[in-house]
Amino acid sequence: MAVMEMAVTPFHRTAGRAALWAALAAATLLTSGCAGWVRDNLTQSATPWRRIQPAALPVTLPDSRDFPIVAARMRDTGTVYKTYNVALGNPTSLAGENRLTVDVQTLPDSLFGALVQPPRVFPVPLYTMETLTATTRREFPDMKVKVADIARRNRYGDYDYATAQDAENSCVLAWQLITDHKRMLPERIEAVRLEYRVCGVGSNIRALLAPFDGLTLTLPETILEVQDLGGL
Amino acid sequence: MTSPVGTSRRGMLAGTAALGLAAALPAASRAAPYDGAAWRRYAERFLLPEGRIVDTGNKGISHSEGQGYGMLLAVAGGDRAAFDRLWGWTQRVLMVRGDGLVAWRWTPDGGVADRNNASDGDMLIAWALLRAAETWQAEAYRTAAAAIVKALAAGLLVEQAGLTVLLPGRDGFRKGETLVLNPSYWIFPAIRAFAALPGGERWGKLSDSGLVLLSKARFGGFQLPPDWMTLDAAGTVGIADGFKKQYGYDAVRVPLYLAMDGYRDPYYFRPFATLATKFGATKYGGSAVPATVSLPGGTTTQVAASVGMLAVYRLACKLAGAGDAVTVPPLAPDEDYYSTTLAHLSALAAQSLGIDP
Amino acid sequence: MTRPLLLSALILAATAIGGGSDAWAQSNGGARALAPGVKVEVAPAPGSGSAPAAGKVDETALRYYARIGDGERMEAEIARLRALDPGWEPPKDLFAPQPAATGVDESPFWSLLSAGKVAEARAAIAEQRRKSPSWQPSDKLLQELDLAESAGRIRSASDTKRWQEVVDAAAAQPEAVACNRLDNAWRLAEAYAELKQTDRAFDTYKTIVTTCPKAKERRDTIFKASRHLSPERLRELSALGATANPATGEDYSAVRSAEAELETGRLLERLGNAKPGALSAADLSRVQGIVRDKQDADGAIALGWYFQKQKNFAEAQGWFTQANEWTPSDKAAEGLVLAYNGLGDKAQARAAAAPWKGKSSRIDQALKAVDPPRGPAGPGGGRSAPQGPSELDRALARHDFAACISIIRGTIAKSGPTAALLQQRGWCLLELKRPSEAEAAFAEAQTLAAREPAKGGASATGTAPGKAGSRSPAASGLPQTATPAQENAYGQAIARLATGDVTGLTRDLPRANLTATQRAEIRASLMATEAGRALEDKRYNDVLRLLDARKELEPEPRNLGIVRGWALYNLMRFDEAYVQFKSIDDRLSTEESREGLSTAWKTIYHDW
Repeated sequence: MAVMEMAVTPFHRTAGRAALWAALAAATLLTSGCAGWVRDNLTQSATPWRRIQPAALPVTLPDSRDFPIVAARMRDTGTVYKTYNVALGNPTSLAGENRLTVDVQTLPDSLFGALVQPPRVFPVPLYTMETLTATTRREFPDMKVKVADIARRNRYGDYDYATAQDAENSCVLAWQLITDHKRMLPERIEAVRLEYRVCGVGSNIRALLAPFDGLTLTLPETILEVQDLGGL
Repeated sequence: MTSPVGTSRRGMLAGTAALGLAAALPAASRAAPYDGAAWRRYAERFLLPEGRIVDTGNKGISHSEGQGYGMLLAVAGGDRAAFDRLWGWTQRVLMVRGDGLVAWRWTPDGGVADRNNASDGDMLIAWALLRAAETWQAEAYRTAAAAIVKALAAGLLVEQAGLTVLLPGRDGFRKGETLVLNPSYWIFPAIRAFAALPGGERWGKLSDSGLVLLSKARFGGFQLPPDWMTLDAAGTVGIADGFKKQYGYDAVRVPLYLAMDGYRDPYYFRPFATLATKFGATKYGGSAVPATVSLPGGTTTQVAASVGMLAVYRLACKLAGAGDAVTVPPLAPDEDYYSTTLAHLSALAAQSLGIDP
Repeated sequence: MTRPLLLSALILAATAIGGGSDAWAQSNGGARALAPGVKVEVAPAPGSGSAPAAGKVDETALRYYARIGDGERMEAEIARLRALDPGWEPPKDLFAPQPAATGVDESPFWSLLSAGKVAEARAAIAEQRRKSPSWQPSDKLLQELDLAESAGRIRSASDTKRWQEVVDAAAAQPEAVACNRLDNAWRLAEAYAELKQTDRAFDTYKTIVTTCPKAKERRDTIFKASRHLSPERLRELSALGATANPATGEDYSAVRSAEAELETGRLLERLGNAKPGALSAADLSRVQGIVRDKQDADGAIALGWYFQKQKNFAEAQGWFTQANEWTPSDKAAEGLVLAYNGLGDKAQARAAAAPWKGKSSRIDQALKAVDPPRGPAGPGGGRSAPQGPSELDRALARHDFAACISIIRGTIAKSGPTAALLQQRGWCLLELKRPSEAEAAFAEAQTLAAREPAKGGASATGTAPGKAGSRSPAASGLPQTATPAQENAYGQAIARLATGDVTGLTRDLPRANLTATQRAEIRASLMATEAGRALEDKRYNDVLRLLDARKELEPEPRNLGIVRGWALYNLMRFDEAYVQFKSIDDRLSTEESREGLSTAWKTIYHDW
């Protein structure tokens, strides 16, 4: 078994240089009269993934025979980001895990937290055509990929998705950013990012999207759903 | 963030001057010199009896910047009565913050509309007071100036990345560990005057860092400074978010203030001269220099630079060694407050440098 | 003249390449690296008809170059000053501080410049000019400032992917793009490529490889260009770089081999992904030739799998054997076992496995294709050895893991699950990068195994029989064969590693039922993961601590060697970082190793 290849955390080739620059920047900072700011890298990087019970997830998925929850994990990045990864069953023999990822960005609850926010764990815009192409090529190699022209809607508003198909199977990649903190999100939540990747047997795209269409977010504070708002 | 005299006013101003408008006017090769007569015409148009300067390009509001410019031009025009009226109104109406600084914006309908200060307005007023003290040998002006300078130093001068910099206003210009700064708030001759006051060493450092920042804050094909910039803890400069990402109505004053303080290094004037010569030389009769340039992209607006801005460009071209590339038309009868002010200040700067205006 | 290595012609008009190249080439004559302080013998620049300057020549720039250790420009400056004044001799005290010259002393500005404080130098000059309006800074100083600023502009524009601005900045200051500022030239070429101006990108690379004298520079340029140019143009570039304008004492063979290295990498990569027959006969024969020439074991393994997938077992066996001869490894042996198995030669297959049996999970796994494990009670196993390899075995031998999943699913649907089937499913899911399901499969297999009638009585708890507890079997050199329960636990651990569950695994590892070898392997992988995390957290001493500990268990693979290099680099142990990258690069030069090497080198020699 190829233990070595799998085990090493990937890192950017330029990690070294970037890190040096950060160190220099921090040194400048410490000598520049901005006293009181303590460099604290450990609180800024992601913690390792840890297994959690599906019941502890901030999301409820409709029961599904084809895509049951296989495992649930979470990790923190700084004090503002929590990321949940739900591995789902995969009835195909294609490579790659079916999954739902939920990133929750909370507002820092202290001035210190506001000053030392980690870099955002997901990009905004979530995808560009380039990054989407790269992602679908990685997730669905050798399949015919199409980006949907028209967004779909779930309980939390519109989302975009791409589909991939070969002779036997179909896959979807859906993504959604919830940032309407005026109407939908509770005060302490800045944004929620959802990403859903599922492959199934056959060609029924809507069946693949059904769990994403039907999911409910269950954060400690209530997130209002689109229908609560009298239509967006 | 509350923005002192910034994008909103200048934006409105921009709408009034269409490209090529000035081309229809008779060309003149040189701007008028600034003298007592020029001041009287200025006062007639912009100084109201109660002692406030009206920003005619901006719905008739008044602001600390206008008061400061008015006071400066009054001293240079030798009109002490007008100066006293301006200073009286400023004290009575705008200096209501309680910290010695000046509320920046006043509207005819609502009075003081934003209590935040605009550091350039405070500096212009203090500098005008110092010049008045010297011109008319009046210690009271100096005392008042010193109080404003002290309040500025206490609340607005900060250290960042080894540089002493001036916050544009008391509130709202820190984003985390990054500062939002305005290059055109470095009024070099005023800063030099403050540095000469007792205990003014930090102002000397402000001058030094101004030159450093102007060397760093060069963006796009023309290498122009942005109207609003950021300075992070590592000393890296950027173009500020939350403002129009452009060079324009604010930053055009950068070469003006440098020239007023006697700087002559072509390096600091070249970006402005390059912009002016590229657009100013040809088919639109030498007046199609754009009012704004997006940064770093370099998209230029259809709105032409005003007469006052062209006067600044003429000065910049001279100092950059680019010759008489820019033709400055005479001020129109309805020339607005900002353009007229820039034209007069450019003339003052040229006179002090011994250059033909 | 300083080295007039301009790309001006290229930047301003892409057609005028010839002129640009000439300008580059002229400067190469007689250029020698110069150690500071060494006496200089340089002929005056020809054609300088100007009268010798009266009085003393201005040595400020020369002293600046000496201080920053830029031998090439120092040499050029000496030539320039000699041309101005043939009687002038380079001073012996180049590094001594200078008293202020008449008028304004420029040395403070040069000091700021050499400290990289370009904006501060500009500010100080402007202030000086305000105070002394009649004074002008020397042209030399202004030129150096312009160059430094342009380089900064090119760098920041290219770092932020504003490609047009890179081109604009280079056009505004063509002197900034030159052999002694190669980084700028590379960035310009990249900008052209990103702007889809491929011809100009190619021309820029071409100018570099035909005019810059050093073989290393030309070779590095080929690698840089490989990201942006087609293989055909890259071949053209290498051919030019290997022959054009040779400088004496430079060996350009490495320039040509750079292209071959890239070619091999590209072909091997395609080989790995290729569907059977996807490679043309010409490409296939080329890659075979290169692999043979270089005795590249990894390349031979890739070729072996290529043929194995085509069920050309004889050809596959040949390449795996070759690989194992060049560099014996369990990877090569694994292929060999499966190739012999494909040929139906089980005896040879077992023989090939023998050196690794019980020591390598790869091999143990491969052996299952040779001698399929019978389910303890037989059910589901249904197939019997004399009938030859089953459908599942053949799928595994082909490395067709999707088929493995399908076949197992079919079998389970027909005749129910067995522990062995579920375990195999776990391994196949792992190969398909579906570790969460794999972990579940191993767990299920373990549960099932506990219920299945035990074979030999110990499999459920998996206690290794007859071993003294304190002595590590691995250390004693006695391979310990894993029980099915241990296999399951091992599979689960691997799956958890793949899902990033480092904390949980670290916690559970001491209690996990594993052989000592398995445990060591998992621990090593955990430490590797931790080291990667420590690097991201900038805990560089921790990186080294973890990697050192890991090295006690297993030799360090090259990717961790690179991690070690960056950790050293960030601890400012630049010399050690350089040695580390160098030792990796010398064995097999890759983009990662070259990046590390060149960054460390540039830092040590301030050659940015």
